[in-house]
Amino acid sequence: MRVSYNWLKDYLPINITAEELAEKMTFAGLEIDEVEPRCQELSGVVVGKVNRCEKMEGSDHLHICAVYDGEREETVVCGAPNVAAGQTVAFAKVGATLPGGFTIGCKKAFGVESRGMLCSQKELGVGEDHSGIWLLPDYLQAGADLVETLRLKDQVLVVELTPNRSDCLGVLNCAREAAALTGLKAAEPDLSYPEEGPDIQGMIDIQVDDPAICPRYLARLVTGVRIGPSPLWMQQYLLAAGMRPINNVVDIANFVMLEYNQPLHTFDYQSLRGKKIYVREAALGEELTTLDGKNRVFNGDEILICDGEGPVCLAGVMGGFNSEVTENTQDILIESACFEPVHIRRTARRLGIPSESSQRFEKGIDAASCDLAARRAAQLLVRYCGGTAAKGAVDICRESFAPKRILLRRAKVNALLGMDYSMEEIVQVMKNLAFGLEPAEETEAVWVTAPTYRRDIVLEEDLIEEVARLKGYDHIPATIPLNQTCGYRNREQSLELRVKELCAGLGLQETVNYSFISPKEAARLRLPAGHPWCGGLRIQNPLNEEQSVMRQSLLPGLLHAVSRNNSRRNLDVRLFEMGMSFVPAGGLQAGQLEEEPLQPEEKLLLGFALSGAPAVNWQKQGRAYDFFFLKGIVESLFRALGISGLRYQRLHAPYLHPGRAAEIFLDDTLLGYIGEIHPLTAAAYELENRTVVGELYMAPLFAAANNIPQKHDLPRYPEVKRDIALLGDANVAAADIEAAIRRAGGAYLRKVELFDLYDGAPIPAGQRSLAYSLSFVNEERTLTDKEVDQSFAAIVKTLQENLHIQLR
Amino acid sequence: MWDKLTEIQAKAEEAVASCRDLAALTEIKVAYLGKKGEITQISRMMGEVSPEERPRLGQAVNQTKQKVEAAIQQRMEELKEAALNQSLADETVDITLPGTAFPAGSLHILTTVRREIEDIFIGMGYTIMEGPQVETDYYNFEALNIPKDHPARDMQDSFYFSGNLLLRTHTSPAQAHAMEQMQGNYPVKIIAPGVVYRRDDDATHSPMFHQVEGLLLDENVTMGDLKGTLLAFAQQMFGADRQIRLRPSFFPFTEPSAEVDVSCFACGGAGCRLCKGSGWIEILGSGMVHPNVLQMSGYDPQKLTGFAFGMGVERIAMLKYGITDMRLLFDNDVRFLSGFGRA
Repeated sequence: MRVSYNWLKDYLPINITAEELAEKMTFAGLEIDEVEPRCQELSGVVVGKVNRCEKMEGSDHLHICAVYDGEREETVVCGAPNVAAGQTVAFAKVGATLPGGFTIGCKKAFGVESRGMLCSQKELGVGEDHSGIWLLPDYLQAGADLVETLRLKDQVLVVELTPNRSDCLGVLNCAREAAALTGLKAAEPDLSYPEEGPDIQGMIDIQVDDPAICPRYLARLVTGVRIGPSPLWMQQYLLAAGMRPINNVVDIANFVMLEYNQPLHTFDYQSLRGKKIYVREAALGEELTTLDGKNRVFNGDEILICDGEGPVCLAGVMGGFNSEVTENTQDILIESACFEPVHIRRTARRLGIPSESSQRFEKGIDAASCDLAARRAAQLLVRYCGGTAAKGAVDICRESFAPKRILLRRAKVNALLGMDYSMEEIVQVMKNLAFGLEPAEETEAVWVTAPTYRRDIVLEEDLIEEVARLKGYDHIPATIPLNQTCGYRNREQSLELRVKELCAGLGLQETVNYSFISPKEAARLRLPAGHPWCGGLRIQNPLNEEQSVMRQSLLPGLLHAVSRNNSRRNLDVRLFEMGMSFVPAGGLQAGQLEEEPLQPEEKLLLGFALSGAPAVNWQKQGRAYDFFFLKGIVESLFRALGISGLRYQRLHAPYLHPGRAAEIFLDDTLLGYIGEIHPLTAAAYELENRTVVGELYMAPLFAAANNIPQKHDLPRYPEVKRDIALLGDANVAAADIEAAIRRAGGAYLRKVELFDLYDGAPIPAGQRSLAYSLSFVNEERTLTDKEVDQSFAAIVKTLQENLHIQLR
Repeated sequence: MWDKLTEIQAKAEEAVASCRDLAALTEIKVAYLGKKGEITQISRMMGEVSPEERPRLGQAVNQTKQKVEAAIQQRMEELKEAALNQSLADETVDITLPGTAFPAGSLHILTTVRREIEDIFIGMGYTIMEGPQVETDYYNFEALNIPKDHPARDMQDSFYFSGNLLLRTHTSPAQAHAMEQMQGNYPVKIIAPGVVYRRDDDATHSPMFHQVEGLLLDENVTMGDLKGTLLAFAQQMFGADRQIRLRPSFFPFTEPSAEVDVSCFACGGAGCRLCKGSGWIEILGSGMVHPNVLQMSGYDPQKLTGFAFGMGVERIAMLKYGITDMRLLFDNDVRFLSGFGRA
């Protein structure tokens, strides 16, 4: 909302600057974004009369004009298309200053010296119109200073309104707010005017179909108006508010809307067929050509104003072409009504025509001010358009708009604010706001009636906020709550943080990706139709297709992050992300449409993506990140969390290398997977290097995590070490060999560690050599060589018999 | 004999003194003190002297032997020390070469900031709770005093899955969840960090971002308590000298409502580019819990009062760490991630 400071001053004698008022308003909850100067720099511009105007020879658009400035006639070259002899214009004399500090000098064009400039509204900074020079009314005296005559110097308060204070979309309500803040009293506009016409009763028949869509419909009639320009002061107020002056009737309707926050509509009374107004919901398929010349087809939930034969106006949004006020209009029917906000919002949204009017109805208006606004409009039509007002009004109003009484208690005020305001202070705030007061039965309390335009005041707490904001929030002391409670992270929250720290400690960088992904990820991951990841929860109104499906895996986000880094030549990429996945409830299938999806299951995942190799350094060439690098990270993570006994099982997933992927189990619980990205998926994501990825499910991981080791004793007897070198079929899994060694090794075998793996010459093709370091410990006594030899022999025998693996 | 002994001692001492390495010294030791060494030889010749002379000669031989041994011992230590010094000198490295490279991991700045915020409120006795990101209309709006078609819904353009299901537009639904879980018990004292979503995307808005909600509900909680709590937060987060300022505002779920500004931590309040010359920076929204919200979640607004606040983690991270483009936070460029290399 843009509020002219000059206009505000019409209602109350403010003696502080606009900036000071803006500061007060901001700290009382009406945030002023900016105090915008208007014509503050303008000087040397006078009212000029164009005495003569001739086309300039040798130019296709310039005119040479003789302009009278009240003292002498000056020669001015003008390029405006609308310039003509006899006009009254805004004349910037030589030496005049225009907005931006631009000074007018003498200029020569085609050998003619031009002394001054005829200005458009835009050049003067009074409006946006730059289609031609600004044409002024002829009654203005030549030579009169334009800034003074038109009271051009002004400041505009640009108000950022919160939804509860839409009342301040009316300048009068802003003035009331300013009054409360300054201790002044806002003067109500004088609404008196002569009603010299016939009684409106009998001249128009108004019916409202359903009061729910139109709680109030009030009409007044003014006959015999002459269409022309509106008064210049009114034009200035409209321009300051950002509206374009049109003609006196339209401008008066807009002026009253801006003043009272009550949108009005003006009908050409003679065009209304049957002299009837009927307010009803549209029928499906019904049509109306609106003021902008567009044919609108309705779907049934619009509110229409109809005459005796059909629609003439789309209520609250835009007038109809058939009842529009034209330059030939003589009799004006003023509509001052209150329409149901939701209907108006839906209509304005659906048709894409938000307007000053619709945005006010959407936010809700004060039905009580319908009458005041209609009177004001009638008064101005009589005063500035030469009209004659009919007697009375037709007022279809089925509800009472009487405001509610609220009990305001001093104890409650102070308990909520932590203050100690006296009853006098509290009452004074209410008085400044012009709220009605009545004594209460209780002591230290008062009955408050807020004016109808303050629709936001409903509860005692609302009144308490009024006290707080008008006394100033800065008076409220900073105290610490008295309650004592223990703050902590619960187990899962602590583990989340611990896992993130471990990952960072293991050299990974944490990333954050969007939770919504593209439906195209399924193809990049080579997912077959029907794969559960294809059926993610779809956003109905995504910003774009790329962000339209809720992820079920962190992979797409991580792979895009790797790809983005690669494209910037960041080739050493080690990422992790801990984030939510969204698993549709009830197993939603790919492509299946579900009108009412259920809340998904939100599963916390830990994802990894490593690509490239550590940067080359002077000590060594880094080994490229591979399956075992990530497996090592995952194993370190598990070890740090006290999880052991994991089982790796080969995994076939379409996006992973079939020979380099594994699922990780703890007993029968799946904890996640790791693997190298399939070359085709890597190509789809434009990955520069081999990339290994993985995802771990946090719920089972946290359940298994055991942060405190259970054993604290060191072995008291020495451990005995034996190495064993084996030769066998390369297809026998290392995990199976290790399991066999452990089974056969007996109670004293503590550690089995692979320290060498070799499959080059002279090892026969298809075979490999594995060397393990075994250590044996007895907690009760020193082991004898014989005991260890027996265990060793048992291991060799088992390996030979069960796995056909020989000692090497 | 005596002369010979004197001669041997002189020769031995001379050989030891001129010896340059340990191996040669060992040879010298053998040559004089070994089984066939010259001094040993002399003591074997003891029979050739008269019995009267024998004790004296024996004593003299022993003395010579001890002197030579001592000389060798001393020389050996000198040579060992020299050898150690030499090998240490040989092992000297260029200490300005880079250290062994370890991959440097990092936590995301949003994690770091979120943890800072959490830790401050944990210190004030708050526990942490989290609600779902895919939320129902009831919790995201209705339970927060934002009925259908309420104009306040304009403030937050939401991502919908259906008429009833949407991505939460703020962490405020946690207020209702927390109160329901407490089933009428109090105090309710929680913060709720989490991911939220709005239909906005530019240099200062991201369609996905993070908030931390706070709620304290108890007997006798005042707006002064809100101010004191947020002042404590601001001073821990942005520096002990910081002040805060409350400005009246509007949120449907609080009454009275306040925007909270912190005195600029770049200029200390004098006015600079960061605070756009005002000396103050807006950091969060807050207010006293609206009685309708309390009632809907089963608490009696005549008996209990509470305050709530909500802050944007990105905003605080950007302010505190001088990040100017929000999109960098979700771009995941490893060079940016390394910039906050705190693990």
